[in-house]
Amino acid sequence: MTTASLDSELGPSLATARASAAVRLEGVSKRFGDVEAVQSLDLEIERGELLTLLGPSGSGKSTVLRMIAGLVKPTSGRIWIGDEEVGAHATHERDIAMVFQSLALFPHMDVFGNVAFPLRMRRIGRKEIARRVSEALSIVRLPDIDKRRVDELSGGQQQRVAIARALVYQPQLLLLDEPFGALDRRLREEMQLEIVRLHNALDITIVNVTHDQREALMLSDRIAVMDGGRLEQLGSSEAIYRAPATRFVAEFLGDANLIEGVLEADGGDVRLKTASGRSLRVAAAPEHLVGTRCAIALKSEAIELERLPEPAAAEGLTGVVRLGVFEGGARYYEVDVAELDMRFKLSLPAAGGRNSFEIGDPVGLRWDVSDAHLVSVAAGASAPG
Amino acid sequence: MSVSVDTKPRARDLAFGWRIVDVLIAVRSKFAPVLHGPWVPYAMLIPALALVGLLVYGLGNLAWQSFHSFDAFRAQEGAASLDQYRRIYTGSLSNHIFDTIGRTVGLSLAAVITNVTLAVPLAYFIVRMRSNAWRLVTLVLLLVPFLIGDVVRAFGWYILLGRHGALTWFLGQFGVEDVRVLGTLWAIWLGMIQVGLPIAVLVLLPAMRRIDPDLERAAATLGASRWKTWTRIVIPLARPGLASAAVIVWVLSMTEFAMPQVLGLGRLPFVANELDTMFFFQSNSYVGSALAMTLLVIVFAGLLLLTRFGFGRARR
Amino acid sequence: MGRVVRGFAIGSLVYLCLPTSIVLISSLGGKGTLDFPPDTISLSAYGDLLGNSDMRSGLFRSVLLGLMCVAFAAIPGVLAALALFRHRVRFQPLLSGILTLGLATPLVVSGMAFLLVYTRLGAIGELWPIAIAITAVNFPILLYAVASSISNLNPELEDAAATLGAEEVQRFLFVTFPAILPGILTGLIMMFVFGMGEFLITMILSTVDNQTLPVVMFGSLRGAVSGTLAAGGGIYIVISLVVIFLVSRLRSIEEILSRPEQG
Repeated sequence: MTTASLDSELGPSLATARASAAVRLEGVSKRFGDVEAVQSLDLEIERGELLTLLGPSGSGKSTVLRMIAGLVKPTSGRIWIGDEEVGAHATHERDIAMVFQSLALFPHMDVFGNVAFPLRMRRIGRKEIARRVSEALSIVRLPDIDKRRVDELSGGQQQRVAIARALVYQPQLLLLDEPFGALDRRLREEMQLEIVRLHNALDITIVNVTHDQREALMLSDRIAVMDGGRLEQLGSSEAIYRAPATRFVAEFLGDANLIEGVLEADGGDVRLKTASGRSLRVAAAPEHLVGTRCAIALKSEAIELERLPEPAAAEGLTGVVRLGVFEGGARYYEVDVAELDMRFKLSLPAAGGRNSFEIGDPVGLRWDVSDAHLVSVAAGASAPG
Repeated sequence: MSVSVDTKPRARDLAFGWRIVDVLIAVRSKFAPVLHGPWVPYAMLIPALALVGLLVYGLGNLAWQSFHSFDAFRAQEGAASLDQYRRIYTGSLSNHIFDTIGRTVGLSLAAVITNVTLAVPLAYFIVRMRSNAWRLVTLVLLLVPFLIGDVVRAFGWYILLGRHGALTWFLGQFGVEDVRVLGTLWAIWLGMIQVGLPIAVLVLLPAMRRIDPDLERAAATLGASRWKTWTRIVIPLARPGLASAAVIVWVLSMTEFAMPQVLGLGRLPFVANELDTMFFFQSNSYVGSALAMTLLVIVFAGLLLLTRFGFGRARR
Repeated sequence: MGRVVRGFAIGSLVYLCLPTSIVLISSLGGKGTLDFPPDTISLSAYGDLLGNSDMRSGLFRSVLLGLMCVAFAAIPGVLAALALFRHRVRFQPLLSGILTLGLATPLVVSGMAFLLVYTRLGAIGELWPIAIAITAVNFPILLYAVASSISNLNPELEDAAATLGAEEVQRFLFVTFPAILPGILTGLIMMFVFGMGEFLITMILSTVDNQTLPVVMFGSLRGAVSGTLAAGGGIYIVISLVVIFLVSRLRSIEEILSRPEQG
């Protein structure tokens, strides 16, 4: 058979699908009644990557995951898993695994029964099932508990069983629907590291959904930030953290302080003019935004405080310390800046007794121009640059 | 990355059970459009509706008879009329009927009040009990009288209160002689507590269980006395359960037959006993129908009143 | 817990199990009459009961009646509960209201209603029409038992099974059905107990030839009360204990008969 006839036989879907994508969404939308849960989403998830859909509740991130799993039918748009367009495939026909928020362990089966379930559904022989189940349980470091009832297990053990059940049949794609949300902090971090470890060891594509920015930054190769059913920004964890594109991303990831103003051209330079008339330098700004409303996003750890001999003696922004909290490695401060009618939230290194201020102290605020990142103000607007 | 799961093993490797499942799957996928039709759940209700439909049909018959005259001599149904109701309410029977209805309603209300009042501490006691073993024992003590049925319950009280029964023996130990409880309203009332209390407690349990013990502790730290904690925290939160308990006790009490017959020695009939007499001893199902409809209306009216006004609406 | 509350609770419990204990004690008295306290302890009353042909056939009919109730209720009950509480049905409150009519209607009125229908159909004198009547009246008990286990079902279980490769038939057979099975069994056991202990409807619909044990016992209450009667009561007490044991193995005993919570 020649290559040409193969192509025509397999149809356009295979021909257009890129070999590198594990999952591809094209113009995918979902309406629930009057609510547009997901609006025309395009997303490509690469093979072997761990991508996190990050957003507040109601942002549509879970709906996206459920559409990939086939549990929710898209109103419009197409979805590929691997090389196949899966629109016509029911959930059980897609080679995926999913770990649910409630874990959804089957209460009437023991641990073995739960992990063996997907293998039984695939009509695998008894001996092979026993071998693979014990292999999967040892991968999640839970040997010798296969006869226990699931409700006798601890929360962490249940998580591991749910993961073992999802991995036992070596699916192409693992979907995580906030499975760590209900855990206490220590256990949650332990399970997050476990996911990173499994991801590195098994070379599996993982799509994770969460509203926890820390988890997203910790786990992901790339993060897709969603809000109001739209993709706000897609990029590597570091890129998104360092250079949020929109006000929403800046606020949701890393508690940025936003100074709003209008962008003005000043000779060769571009500056942000605030309502109070102050002109602030920005890291980089494309010319086409000049004249529009923008904001400077300053991360809480990007700002330094400077003790002032007396109020309003400095040239830069000045403020008054309103709250100070010692956090171990850092000190957290809230500083009121009257001129901008803003309260800044800062986190300063505390090593060696540095950065110790009292409530009421007048302070000056400084930052590196390269940290003065520009974001668009209108919600959902496209990223500058 | 490889997909190593072989989804198509050879047929002879499959256990017999799996082959049945595969046949079912094939059948289902063949008829998928039919089986997923919007009418399917309604079709699933048909057997149940047919079963209850028989009861509805019977109730319709009762209603029909109650509004028609009947010629007992020729055993023929006559024209539509209010004859039957007239016979109950205005005829020579009326005094007896009114007495019976009054007795039934009065004792049923008494039973509702006593049972709900007693059920609250008992349900609370069970929910807050620390030992699981004792909780099980308590539930057994509660459930056995509930499950044994009316006749055994009535029989138990009969020999307890009877002439050579345990009560006589017990009082005899203290020198008290010749106490007659059987044949009085008190005996019936005692028996009715036995009927309603277990079910009242069972209905109250879920509502009680939802009350967070911390709320009571919080009330105590805020300075509420034990009594105040009860009246302000526990009872208001148990309200939805109280209403359902009252409704069930009401319905059960109003239809009580065995207790008045056995413990009232047949001298103090309830509506159910009177109906039995009319249908079987006087063979007059037409007059009986009118009385049955009256009972039905009283029960439903009480049911509505209890859910509407009895305990207020649940605030959640 | 306050001392007053505990006092009331324990007092009520003692009160509740008084007649039951008396019946048990009397049934072991082994004498013809029921004087308290009994002089001897023996099981002879139970032997007398099995020797009495009315009682024996009554007991047999009671058990048969209970089994018939289970048989008649099982399929309609499970189907209806699934339709009402798992699928979307319009007029759901109205439909479940109709199906619970048996519980709201006074038993004696239901009995008379069935009497009229069965007289018209010529179905008096058989046991199975009685079983149908009792099933219709006790139907809500099964419905609630199944409904409560459906509402306790985690809706994500089926989704999870689907992602793990289970087709719809397999999802029902291996996940949904086993998960609600304890509720179904509990409901059916209750149908059995209430069927075999039922008195009022059975009495209204039965003839002299097909009386069940409670009806026979009630009839003999009018005559001299004997130890045989106590033995009949004893049988019901033992059956109740067995049922409680079975149901408590199936699920938390407190869930029995608790209505499904909405939402």
